[in-house]
Amino acid sequence: MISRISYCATDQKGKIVDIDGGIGALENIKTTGLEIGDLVTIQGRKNGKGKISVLKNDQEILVGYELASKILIDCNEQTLTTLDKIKVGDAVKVKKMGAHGDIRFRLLDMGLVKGVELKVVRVAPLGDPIEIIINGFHLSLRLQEAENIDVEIVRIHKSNGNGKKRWGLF
Amino acid sequence: MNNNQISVALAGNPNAGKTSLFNKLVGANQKVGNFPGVTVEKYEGYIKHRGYQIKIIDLPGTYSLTTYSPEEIITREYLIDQEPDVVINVVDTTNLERNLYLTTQLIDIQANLIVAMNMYDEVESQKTEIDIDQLEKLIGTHFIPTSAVNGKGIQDILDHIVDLYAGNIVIKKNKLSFSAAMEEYIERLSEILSTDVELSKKYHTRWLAIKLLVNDKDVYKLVKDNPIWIKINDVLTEALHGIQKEFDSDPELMLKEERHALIRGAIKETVTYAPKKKKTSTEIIDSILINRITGLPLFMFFMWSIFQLTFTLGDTPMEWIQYFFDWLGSAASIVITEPTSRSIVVDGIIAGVGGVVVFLPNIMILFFALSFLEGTGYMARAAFVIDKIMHKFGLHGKSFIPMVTGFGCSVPAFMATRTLKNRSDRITTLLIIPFMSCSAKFPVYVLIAGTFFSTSEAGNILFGIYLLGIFIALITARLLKSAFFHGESEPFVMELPPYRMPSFRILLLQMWQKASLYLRKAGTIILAASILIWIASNYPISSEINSKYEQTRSDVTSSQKYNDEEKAKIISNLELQESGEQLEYSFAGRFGKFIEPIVAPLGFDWKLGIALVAGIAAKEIVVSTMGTLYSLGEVDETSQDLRNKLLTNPNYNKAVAIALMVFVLLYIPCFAASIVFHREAGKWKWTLFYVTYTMTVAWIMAFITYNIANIFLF
Repeated sequence: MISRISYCATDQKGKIVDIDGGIGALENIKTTGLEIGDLVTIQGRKNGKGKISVLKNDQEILVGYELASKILIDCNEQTLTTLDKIKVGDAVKVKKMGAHGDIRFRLLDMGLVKGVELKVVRVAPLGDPIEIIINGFHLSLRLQEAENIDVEIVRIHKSNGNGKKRWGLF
Repeated sequence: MNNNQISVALAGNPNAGKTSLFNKLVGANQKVGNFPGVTVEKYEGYIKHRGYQIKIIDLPGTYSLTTYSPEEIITREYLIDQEPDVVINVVDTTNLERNLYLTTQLIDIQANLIVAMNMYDEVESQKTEIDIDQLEKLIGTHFIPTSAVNGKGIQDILDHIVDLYAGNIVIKKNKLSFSAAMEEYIERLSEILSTDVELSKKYHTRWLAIKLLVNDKDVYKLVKDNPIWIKINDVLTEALHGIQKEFDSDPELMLKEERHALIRGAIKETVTYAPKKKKTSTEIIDSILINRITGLPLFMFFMWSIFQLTFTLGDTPMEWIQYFFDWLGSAASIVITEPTSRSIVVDGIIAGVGGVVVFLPNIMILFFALSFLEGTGYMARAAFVIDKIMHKFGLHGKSFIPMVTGFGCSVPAFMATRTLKNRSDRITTLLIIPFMSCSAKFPVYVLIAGTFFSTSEAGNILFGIYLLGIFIALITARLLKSAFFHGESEPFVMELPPYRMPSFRILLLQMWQKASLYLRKAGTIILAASILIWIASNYPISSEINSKYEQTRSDVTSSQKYNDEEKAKIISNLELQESGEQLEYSFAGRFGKFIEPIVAPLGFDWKLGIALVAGIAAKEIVVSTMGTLYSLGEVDETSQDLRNKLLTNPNYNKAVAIALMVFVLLYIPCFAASIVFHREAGKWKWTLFYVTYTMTVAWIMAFITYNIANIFLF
C-alpha cells in the first residue's frame, strides 16, 4: 500500500519507495538523511503540530510536514487519516463520518457514506475550502469539516516529478 | 372541488434543471411569490392540457427531505400537507446517483411520483446507456427522459400527469426495501401507528415509522402528543437499542447508508457509462477560473464587473428616469395651479414614485448578472474562492456579492442576500450591508470633506471613511455570530455544478420577476412613506411666518428704491429664507430641534439634526436640506455658497465635520432600503434591531471621533 509519510499513523512501518516532487525536494530529503529504500517507522508529529518524527535504524530523524507529504512510503497495512490532510489528486475511501450535527447529515445526504471513494481535486486559492469529486459530482467543503471525516488511502497521485508545480491542476 | 384541476409539484436537487423544465412546461404563464413566513420564492405556473387545468408549483431545490434548511422544510411540508395530485421529481440524469437519493425519500412519503430524467440530451451525447425499464422496476416508479434544451419529453410529462390523475395509468405503490433488521422494526412501528385512526388517515404510517427511527424532531413531536405514544415508545426504544447493539450504528446512519447502497446497486445494474473523456469541459474551465494563481484575481475582476455594470451601466437609464420624473413634475406644476395640491402631486407623489422607480435599472442589471452567475455555476465557485476570508468573520462565501453591492446601493444589496440559503448567514449579511457606504452618501462626504479639508486631506479622509465602514461591518458580523447565532453551524457543503449556459429567456424572466417583486411589494410602501415624509417636512405651515414674509415682499414690491431686476432677486431670496423658516417650523424641523440635545455631544446643532433626519428619506437630501436651512435654494455638494456658510459658522470645525461624516456613514440607510430590509429579514424583531443598532453605532462612533478629533486637531 503506497502512502505518504504525512498520512501515516504513529508506529506505522514502511519502506520509502519514491519521492513525489522535483529535484529540490529530492535534495531536501537527502539532507535529512532519508533515502529511497530506507525502512522507517513513523512516530507522529512533535507536539501534535511540529515536524514529523521518523525512526530509521533506531535513529530519530525530523522531517518537516510539507516535505514528509512528498515522501512516498510502502506500508504493509492500510493508512488511515482524515480528509483535510489529503493532497490534491489522491483518492481515498470514506471510513467513518465523525462530523456531528447538521453537517453530518448534510454530508451523508450528499453521499459521503462509509465505503464511498472520493478524490481531492483542488484547494481554494486561499488554502480553504477544498474541492472533492464523489460519485461523479464536485463538492466543496471546509477543512474544519473535512477534519472529521476518517478516510483510508486508495491511490496516491504522483505529480510529474520534474520540479514543475501543479498549481491546483490535476 | 373541480375535477379538471390537477395540482402538480416539481421537486428535485438544486442544479437539476428544475427551473428550466418548469419554464418549458408553463412558459410565461407563471407568477412568483413567497412561501408564507419565509423569503423562499414560490413559483406557480398554469397550463392547459387535454382539457385539464394543471397548476404546477416549483418547489425549492433540495438534496433531501430532512429538516435542516428552510428549503427542505418547505418542500416536505408542502408535499405532506398539500398532497399535490402528482409529484414530478426532476433529476439530473448526468448525475443519477446523487439525484436518486431524494427520489427514495419521495417514495417513502408515498407521493404520486413521476421521475423526469432531465438533461437527457447530455446523457445521450455522452453515449451513456440507461436501461430505463429496468430502472423503473428497481426504483418502482415511472421515469421519463426530458430535456429543457430541446423540449424532449415535455408532452410525455403532461400526458403522464393527466393519465395518472384520470387513473389511466396506475403506478403501483412501491416501497424501498431496507435490510431485514430495519424492515422488521419499520413494520412493527408502522403496525402500531396504523391503529391510530387520526394519524394513519393523514400520514403514511411507514413514513412515520421511518422518521421515528431516524429521530426526526417534527414527527417525534407529532406522535408524542398522541395516546399511541405509550405503545410506540417501547418498540422505538427497543429498536434503537437493538440496532445499536447489533450493528454498532444508529438507525439514521444505517438508513442513509442503505439508501445510497440501494441506489448504487440500481445504477450498477442499469447504467453503462461510455469511457470517460480525459477532461470534461467543466474541469477545463475550472482549471482556469478557480486555480490557485488566477482564481482570486479573476474573482475580483468578475465582482468588479458586476459592480460596474450595475452602477455605471445603470446610471444612464437612472438619469432618464430622473429626467422623466423632473419633466413630469414641471408639467404637473403647470397644470395644477392650487399650491397645496400642486406640492402634494409634484413634491410628494411624483417625487415619491420617481424615488422608487429610479432603483429599477440597478436592480434589473444586478439580478440579471446574479442569475447569470447562478445559472452558469460560477456563483458556487465565487463562494469557494472567497470563503476563507468571509468565514473568518463568521460569514459565508456567498455573502461577498451582497456586501460589494452595498457600496452601490443597499436596496439591491439587501435583495441579493436571497442567494444565501442559511437563515443566520442571511440575517448577518443583511445587518452589515448598511455599513458598506452606499453611493448616495458620497455627495455628503464630498461636501463636508471638501469644505473643511484640503484636497489631499479630503482624499485620505474619504478613504478612511470607507475603511471604517468595512471595519464596522466585519466587527458586526463577528458580534452577531457570537451573540445571536452562536453554535448555529453553517455547513459549507456546496456542490460545484457543471458549467452550463443559462437560457437568455429565463435570465430575462428572472430579472423581470425580481423587478416586479420590488415594485409591487416594496414600491407601494416606499411611496406611502415618501408622502408621509413630505407631509412631515411641509406641515404645519406657520401663517405667522408666511404673513411676515408676505408683508416684507409687498413692501419690496411697492418700494421705489429698487429696480425690477433687484426686486426679483430680493424676493426670491426672501422666498428661500421663508422656506428655511417653514422647514424649521414643520414636524421634521421640530423633530430636528427636539433631538438637538441628543446630537449635541457629537458637536451637531439643530440644523444638522434636521438635515440628518431628512436624510432618512434619502441620503442625498442631507445636502439639499442644508441648502434649504441656509436659505440657499438649490444646492449640490460642490456649491460654493453652502461651503462658505458652513466654514463661517462658528459652530462647525474639522472635528464636527469628521463626526458628521462618520454619522452619515453609519446611521440607518434610507427609507426605501429600510423597507426592503424589513421585507428580506421578515421579522419585526430584526428590523427593530437594525434601526437601534445602526443608530447606536453611528452615535457612539461619531462621539468617539468627535472627541478624538477635538484633541488632535486643535
